[in-house]
Amino acid sequence: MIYNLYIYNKHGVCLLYHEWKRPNITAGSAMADQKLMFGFLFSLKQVVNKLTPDSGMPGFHACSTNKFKLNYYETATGLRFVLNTDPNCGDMRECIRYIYSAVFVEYASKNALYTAGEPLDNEQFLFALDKYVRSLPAFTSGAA
Amino acid sequence: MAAQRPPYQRLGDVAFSKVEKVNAELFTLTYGAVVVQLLKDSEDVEQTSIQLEKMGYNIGVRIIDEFLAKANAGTCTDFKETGEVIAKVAFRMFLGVTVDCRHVVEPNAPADAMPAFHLIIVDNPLVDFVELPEHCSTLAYCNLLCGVVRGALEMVGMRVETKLLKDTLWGDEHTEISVSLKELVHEQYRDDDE
Repeated sequence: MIYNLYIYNKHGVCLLYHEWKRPNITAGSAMADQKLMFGFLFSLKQVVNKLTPDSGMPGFHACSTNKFKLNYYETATGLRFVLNTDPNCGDMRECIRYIYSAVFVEYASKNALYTAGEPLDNEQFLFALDKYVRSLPAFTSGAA
Repeated sequence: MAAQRPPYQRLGDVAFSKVEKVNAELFTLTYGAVVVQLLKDSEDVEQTSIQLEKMGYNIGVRIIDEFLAKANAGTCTDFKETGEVIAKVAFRMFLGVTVDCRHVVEPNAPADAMPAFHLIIVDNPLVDFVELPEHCSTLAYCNLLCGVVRGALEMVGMRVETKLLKDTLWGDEHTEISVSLKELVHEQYRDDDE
């Protein structure tokens, strides 16, 4: 099951938050929730960088609890994609890469009306994203 | 034969085969029309060159995401490799040509000097059908490319300086762009706790 998606730019601005299913509604505003998530990613990245041995590129892909899994993809341009799913979903990196290349690039980067750093509220973008995510086998798997 | 080619070249070919194409002549003529319009608007050759570079920069900051998403070029370990990737993969993917990358080592340069490379474009699609008239002989016609490289690299944390060194339109044998690294920019976050 796919829960939700966050997209941040390199300055930590949340460009998109989209929710398909969120079993646990957190208290507080959407803004606070997005900041909390970014803070978590930021700290986790610091930890990962500290723990990674010298050889090898640092970078984490996912972390999970018994209830959910956080799938993470960061581009060289500093875009961060966070896709939360149920813990039984396999490797979602390919899916996030697809969202980056076929949705973000096509409907945001190539869209002359989109200014970098603005929230992504373009209808076509959201439509393409929603269509892709709903087509994933992981979207329906594990549904209770 | 194909297996013996350097890997970057192959990556470039693959990327090129995946992207949408437009007619090369249409592209060249459109670019020409843009430059002519800029010249008319600004009435100044120097200003036009600057404007072209700015336009390129704005293209660069967007094009980089498409490049990263579609070219699968991986992560560069140093600036030298960045040069190779730009020359062999990026130029091939977006302009359909391969470019040579020459690494420049300044004689007497200190050991910690910032690296630089030159991109040598022999078969530059932008300059087909173009002649610079007398009063525009100093126009940096291909300055757009400098801007694209600068914009794209800035987005991945490399502040560079680019300059059009040679141009076939100036009577040189090829177009040559110098790219020199100025600064590696690390991530910074605004602390805006309310």
